[in-house]
Amino acid sequence: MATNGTYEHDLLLDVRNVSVDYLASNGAVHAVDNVSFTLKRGEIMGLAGESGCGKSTLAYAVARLLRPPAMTTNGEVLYYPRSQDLVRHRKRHEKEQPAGSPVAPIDVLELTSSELRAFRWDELSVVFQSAMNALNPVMKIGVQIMDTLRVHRPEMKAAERKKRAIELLERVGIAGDRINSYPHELSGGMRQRAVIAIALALNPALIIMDEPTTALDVVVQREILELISGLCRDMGMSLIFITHDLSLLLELVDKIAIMYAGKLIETASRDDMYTHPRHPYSYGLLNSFPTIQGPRRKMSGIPGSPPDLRVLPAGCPFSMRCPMAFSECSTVRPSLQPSTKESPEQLVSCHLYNSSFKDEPPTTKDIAAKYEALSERSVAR
Amino acid sequence: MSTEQQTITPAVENQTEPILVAEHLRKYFPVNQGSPFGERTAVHAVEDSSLALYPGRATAVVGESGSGKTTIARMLARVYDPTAGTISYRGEPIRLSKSAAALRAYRRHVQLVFQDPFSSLNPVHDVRYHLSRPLKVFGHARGNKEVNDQVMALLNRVSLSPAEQFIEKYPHQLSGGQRQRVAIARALAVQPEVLLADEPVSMLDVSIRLDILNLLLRLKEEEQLAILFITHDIASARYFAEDTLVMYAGQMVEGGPSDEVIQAPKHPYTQLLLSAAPDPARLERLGVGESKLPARGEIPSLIKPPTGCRFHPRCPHAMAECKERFPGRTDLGNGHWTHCFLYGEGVQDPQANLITVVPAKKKAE
Repeated sequence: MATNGTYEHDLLLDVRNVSVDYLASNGAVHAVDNVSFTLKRGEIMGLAGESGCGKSTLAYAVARLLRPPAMTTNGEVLYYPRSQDLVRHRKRHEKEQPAGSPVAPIDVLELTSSELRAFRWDELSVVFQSAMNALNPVMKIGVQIMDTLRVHRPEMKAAERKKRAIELLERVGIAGDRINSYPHELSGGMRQRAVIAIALALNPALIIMDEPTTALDVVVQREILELISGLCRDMGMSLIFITHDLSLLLELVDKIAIMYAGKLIETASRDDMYTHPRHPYSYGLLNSFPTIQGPRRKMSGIPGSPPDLRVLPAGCPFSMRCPMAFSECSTVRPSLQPSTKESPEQLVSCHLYNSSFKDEPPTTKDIAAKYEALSERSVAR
Repeated sequence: MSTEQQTITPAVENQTEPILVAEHLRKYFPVNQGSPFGERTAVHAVEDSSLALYPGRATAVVGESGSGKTTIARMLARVYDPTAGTISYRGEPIRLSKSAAALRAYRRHVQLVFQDPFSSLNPVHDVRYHLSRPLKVFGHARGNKEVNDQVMALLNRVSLSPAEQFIEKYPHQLSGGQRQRVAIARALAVQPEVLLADEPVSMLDVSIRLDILNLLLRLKEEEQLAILFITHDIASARYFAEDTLVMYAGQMVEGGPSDEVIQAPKHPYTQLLLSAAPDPARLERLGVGESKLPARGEIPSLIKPPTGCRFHPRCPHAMAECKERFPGRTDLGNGHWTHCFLYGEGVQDPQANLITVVPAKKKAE
């Protein structure tokens, strides 16, 4: 939720120009194309987009979890470790660092496998989509938590590990006596809580969650979201939350990044995104779910379907579906830049906000009007 | 009944007769415990549920998983036989006969659309096969040319155009939204009057959901289909359906016109569902992190469900009475009703305990 004051300007993650390709026999699929973003300590970032837009691939690239045929072809992922944990993997950089200067970052993409092992869990952990598959069905959940501790904290005694496991379970709202339960004895929501408990085991600075609530019911989903936001607030953790459901994100995150066809097309604070989305695609996504409040009106969604990532158009990948596209959109590729003078923090990759193409950037009302006109002639998909 | 009320819900009050009516449906699934001497147990999936479907009107059933909403759809589709209760089609109670002819005659009028378009289409058959089978089986088309023309017309009706392109495709060549359109076209091929849609959009991407909902809305209006719309997303129930029923652990707890139920929820469970639903507009009213759930927990086991109102273990307003019996139906006006002691005496519905088993043979005319 709200950023923790003491960490306000403390950079944690700086992702620069990362590209990921899936190598296929009929050409490389550019799943992530030249994506850059930053994340501060204690900040919650939402990563949203349709299926196949590359949001999970990007997050896995950051965590170094990609396996062939996926390849990170370009870019760097700079991570600023907490000073007290430096000893573990900062040996290589010790020479270059004068005393008293801010901590030098490490490039996650350059880590060797042993450094990576120390980096994962201690600094970064990942919560996967389906808790059913993430837990081992033949191991008690307590053992699965202690397993992580045993590998990463060999100095810990068995009794201490057990104490820590109970503490973690209670932290996520599971009674400590469930430490001897098997995953099948827990409900879906409890299983997801157990997975989160494992992710918290070593107190990481960054957690990546890939659609952690998709398989859950609305009430349970809300409980998990409350748990997550509470944990981040109390422990000062940063979080990257991946989902296709923007309505969920709006209540949880500080900052939203929207991806389309492997590219970041807009990043903005939650309030900016909610009140004035700049990219026509962001507007479409924000208006593709019915609401509980307000008048019941006919909604249109976004026409068309995402492009084939092997043969992307020369210009903006959204231009074929965009209700506001003009001639340059199909020839010149836009890049991420500040949208308007009023909101310089809101970055958008759209020619509508480029002064060399358009004198006056459109307002949210203009985009709404174009979508409205579109919904009148129903388009097939 | 005042005139004002009649203008709000005309279809219920005076416009048309319902096509499909379910009264006091119950469904128990016996649990096989392996021992012939063991206690006979059953999953009490649906208890005393009634609903009516009207032409050109959609009714939404909202609830969490395990609330019995899919079981209701399957009973209406004659996949399961109800343990008790009656289903009437155009005023005639239907016979619970499992003969192929009887089922086919019934399914000529009532069709089911499944949740998962990835598994409801056969991967070894193309779109033409999927759509021509029901046309031939139900005798709506004879001869290759007629079948072909009708398949094309069906594809156009679900906005899969150009139809020539889609007719040759196999399910794996289609996107999720396109597959769901084929599944809907297959149901329409039978020319049904009732469409039972079991979570038709929950497997699809958020941006595609609206397209499918809009397609179903258009079909409802153009073809006067009666639609049962099963969902866990209360916002899409409001968008799509005129009437909304809320189910919890097999019991129907609240129902009425969608706007009434969702804007002025009465039952504590409906209020819980609404407070849990994602709603960006709430940010403007409350600010971040201030929304709190009034109740927690999950649906109880339905093998030994809680007595009385099944929501009482989670209910913030639970009273002693709630444990003892299920409250009767309280009418709140405008067709809005609820089963909760908070809103009235809760006189036990005299028919609630009346189990009317309809044996298949006795009912034969």
